[in-house]
Amino acid sequence: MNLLLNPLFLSIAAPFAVAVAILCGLPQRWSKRLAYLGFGLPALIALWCWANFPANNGAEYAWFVRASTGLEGFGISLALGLNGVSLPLFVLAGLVGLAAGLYAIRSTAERTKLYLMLLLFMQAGLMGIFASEDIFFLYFFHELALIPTFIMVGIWGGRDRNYAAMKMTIYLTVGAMLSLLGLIAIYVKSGANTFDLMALREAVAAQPIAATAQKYAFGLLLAGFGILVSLWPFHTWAPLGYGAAPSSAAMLHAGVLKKFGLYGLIQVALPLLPDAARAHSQILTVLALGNVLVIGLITIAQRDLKQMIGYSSVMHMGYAFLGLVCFSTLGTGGVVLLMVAHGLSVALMFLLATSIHDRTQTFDLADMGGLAQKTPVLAAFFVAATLAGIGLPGFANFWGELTIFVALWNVSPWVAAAAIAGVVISAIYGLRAVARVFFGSPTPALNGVMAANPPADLSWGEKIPALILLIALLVVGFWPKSISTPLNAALTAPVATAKTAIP
Amino acid sequence: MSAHPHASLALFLLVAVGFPLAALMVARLWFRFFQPARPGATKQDVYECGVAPTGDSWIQFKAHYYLYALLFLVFDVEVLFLLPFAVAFTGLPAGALVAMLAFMLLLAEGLVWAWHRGHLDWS
Amino acid sequence: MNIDYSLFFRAMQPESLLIEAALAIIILDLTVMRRKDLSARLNVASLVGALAVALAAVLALRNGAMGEILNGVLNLDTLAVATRVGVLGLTLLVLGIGTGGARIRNPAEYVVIVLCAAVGFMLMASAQQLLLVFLALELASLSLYVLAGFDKSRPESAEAGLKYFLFGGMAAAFLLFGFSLLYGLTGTLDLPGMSVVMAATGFHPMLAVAMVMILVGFGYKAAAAPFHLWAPDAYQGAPAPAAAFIASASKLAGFVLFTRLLWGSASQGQMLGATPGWVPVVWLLAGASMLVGNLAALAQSNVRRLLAYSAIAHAGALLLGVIASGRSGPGPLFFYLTTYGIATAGAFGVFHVLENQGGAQKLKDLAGLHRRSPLLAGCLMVFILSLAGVPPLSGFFGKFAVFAAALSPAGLGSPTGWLAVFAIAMSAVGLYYYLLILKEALVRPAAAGATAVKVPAAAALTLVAAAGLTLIFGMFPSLLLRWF
Repeated sequence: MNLLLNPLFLSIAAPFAVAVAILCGLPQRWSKRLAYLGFGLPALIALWCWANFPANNGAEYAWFVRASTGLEGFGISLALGLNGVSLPLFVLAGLVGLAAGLYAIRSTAERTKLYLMLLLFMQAGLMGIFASEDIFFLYFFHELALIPTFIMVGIWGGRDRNYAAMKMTIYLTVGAMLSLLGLIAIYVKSGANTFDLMALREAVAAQPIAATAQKYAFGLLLAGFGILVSLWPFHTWAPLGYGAAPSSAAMLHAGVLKKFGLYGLIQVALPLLPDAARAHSQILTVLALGNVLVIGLITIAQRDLKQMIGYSSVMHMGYAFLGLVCFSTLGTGGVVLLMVAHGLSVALMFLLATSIHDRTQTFDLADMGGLAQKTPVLAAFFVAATLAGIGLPGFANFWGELTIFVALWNVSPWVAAAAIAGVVISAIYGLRAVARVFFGSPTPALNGVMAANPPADLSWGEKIPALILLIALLVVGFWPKSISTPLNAALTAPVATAKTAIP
Repeated sequence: MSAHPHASLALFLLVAVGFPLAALMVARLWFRFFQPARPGATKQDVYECGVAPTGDSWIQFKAHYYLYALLFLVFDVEVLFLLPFAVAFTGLPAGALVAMLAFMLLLAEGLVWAWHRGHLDWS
Repeated sequence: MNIDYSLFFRAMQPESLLIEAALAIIILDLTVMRRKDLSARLNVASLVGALAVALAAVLALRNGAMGEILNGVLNLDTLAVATRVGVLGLTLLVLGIGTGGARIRNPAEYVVIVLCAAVGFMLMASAQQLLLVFLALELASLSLYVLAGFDKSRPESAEAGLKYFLFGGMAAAFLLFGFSLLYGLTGTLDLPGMSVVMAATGFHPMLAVAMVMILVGFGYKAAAAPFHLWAPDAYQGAPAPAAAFIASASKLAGFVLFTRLLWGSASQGQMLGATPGWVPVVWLLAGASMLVGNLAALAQSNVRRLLAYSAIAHAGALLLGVIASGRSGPGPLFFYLTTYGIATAGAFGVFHVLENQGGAQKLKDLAGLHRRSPLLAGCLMVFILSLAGVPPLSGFFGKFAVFAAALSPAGLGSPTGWLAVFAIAMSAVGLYYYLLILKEALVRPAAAGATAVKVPAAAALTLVAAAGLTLIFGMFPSLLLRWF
């Protein structure tokens, strides 16, 4: 009973229940109506949690609930709760899920029911990832969200969807398996014989895991999570997959699901394996700089709008890894801020890119131009999203990048300087894309397309999801304290303790 | 010297492998020194009870005997188990009788099945 | 020696019910159904068989763990009860997917032999005496040989039956030799008694020979590399329900029996598991099976052969589970076996329906299945993803439990730990060929002229139930694990 009334459980159960209802043969009209509920309820719950999160109390798990799964022999129980680290990402999952869901409900994809069902399963998994306190369920919900992605890319994908789906599946499943192995290694080696994060933290605080065990467990987790977060040079699935994925799937995956790896590193790997994390920091720094600089330059060279967004998302993950290797509250907090900001802005970019494609029938930057005159609102949104991506003050990204740079400067000014050079790179490709798509004069081919099918400006079906994302970006941009206070509390506290109920 | 309890097995193995090898060797030596090499059509022929063979040696046998062999097993097994059962009958509880009846029912139905399916018709 | 027959008859209720049903099916077929057409005869026989199997499962559950029966010849402990019920469930699944197959020429006999094999499996699960072990094994094996060659009008089926028979006969010879050595060494046939004698006398070189013989025998039966060569041909040629039976219930009973021989039961301490030196051998078998199975599966263009190689790979993972179950109990292994059995039997069921509609067994014949029959495509997706070990399906938790059990005593540093890492790496390879199946079924457009697939009602019901179970056991693994 306690479980059924828990807001976190409801936010997972609602999309799941709607998806199951669609699976059992709900008619089309009702599917869409219930899908509003399935996407809306988690978002509302997320916002409610954000508003009601106990201030200065981020280290404790709020709305904590534990339900028996019958697997206590394995140390597994369904434990849900939000602390200061998971709260912002929970909100992110709710909002991006709502935006992607609304966009999907109004879209005209064929076999909409199946599409909505997969998205709803994915949404249930996403809410579950960030609400789980038990690391077995953390992984479980991640996989629940991951599998629908592959199917959606395979069925509704664009160009090269067969190859993209296959590549994405293999890369991500290998990554997931490696990280599962790392999690099992922690489970075995901590001596606590539990997957419960708080119990693990207590056990490790009492008796740290042996150095060699830490080393291979962290190595496994880093490799696994690194592939999932598209750490250079394991990133090649990402641009390809995002390029082929249908818009809502790309929004949810790039915006939210990809953050699972970083979240795992912050919540699990860094607190439980601190020594090994430090031992790996040099190599991680090099790889992360590869993400920022190498991928940044590759991004500039892209001719395809969606591929460019995919690469830019890979590049921004480099900042996140750089923030992690600072091993400071500032750096890690910056990573969480950046995860939220990047999730919102990249989802917005994918949404707008699809809207542009609907009007121009192409993703090729060379074939576009002059769209601003026909669709000023779309242009305004796109410019805003680009500026957010570059990290202009006023958007959430600014705070994320700024804190990471400051933290980096404290550790190594050289690395910080190299990372800051990345901002210039993102300005180059971002602004160039704006110029190519919206300004200048249209190519003859585009003129032909637009003459046959005059482009309308953004409809409400596109505007509302875009607005949700943009407003969230601005709110965090102007009021970062709403996230950073509980975050700070969570990151500075030594051992997280549970609180069962906070009204 | 106390031999290993299984030492005799090794001896058996030695004899089992050695005897045929020795026999083959003797045949080979006989061939080498005494046998004149006179191959001929009669010598290469298939041996068939000393009678001159007719036709090809690769012929198809009618393999329906196996059905009768299987059916024979029904009675064979039945007798095999019934005899000790009958000898010990007075000392056995009622449960044993039930078990034996069930066993006989199984075998009997096998016979009925074969009869109905026409496996007893020789064609 | 006093035998409590009433207890014995009560314990054997499920088995005797199956035998009675088999007799009834033959009588029905010889009398009432004599002039009916083949599909009606198959349906009636399957229905009677399925009812008997369901009732037997109820009886087995109601009787519960009765302990030692017939002076310890049988031991109905929890594992035995769970295996009995699991075997009965898988038998039900096989009977369900077998309906609607137009090719079976002697339907009543087919159902009867399936029931006989089920009895063999159930006895394997509870046997505590080497003679009974061997008899149960042979009852099951001989029934399976017949089933593999049941469709004798097709040369492939005859080939499958013959190959399976020859390899199986060889394996039985090895096993029997191993058993006889064990008997010679210990002077008793009872497994608990043997473990007592062995603990008292200590290691004897002949024990190692016996152990190797038994391992070879079981390696053949379980299709572990390098004794796997019969499996692809048998899986390819046998009628699909028979192949499903060989891959599911037979594995379940066989591995449970093997675990018992090695580790004994909870009450009596370990058996042959006390013999030094067997772990590396099983370790090698497991590693070789995973390697050969997964790599060879990559090259297959026939779905049945692909599933056969995947079965070889899974046999490797199961052997890892056998090693691990010495410490963690048989729970993870049993979970893996059951869920693997459901998923693989379900996949064979999907192929069976397709083959009956004229499709061949090539991978590319699956193309466009999501248009031709969304139901089959959905079920196939669940089964294949479960085989690949993707959460939230039960295959994932099976793998997870086995690997966690293998890692838990010594962590990654031990050989068992490395084998678990290897198994995980190999499941990544496995994912590729499982996805090849799904790509054909879910992504590829149908070939020109492909028509919609009609799924017989009973088969549809069975497949949906199997897919549902795969999902439910994945979400609530404690439903199975709480037995242990």
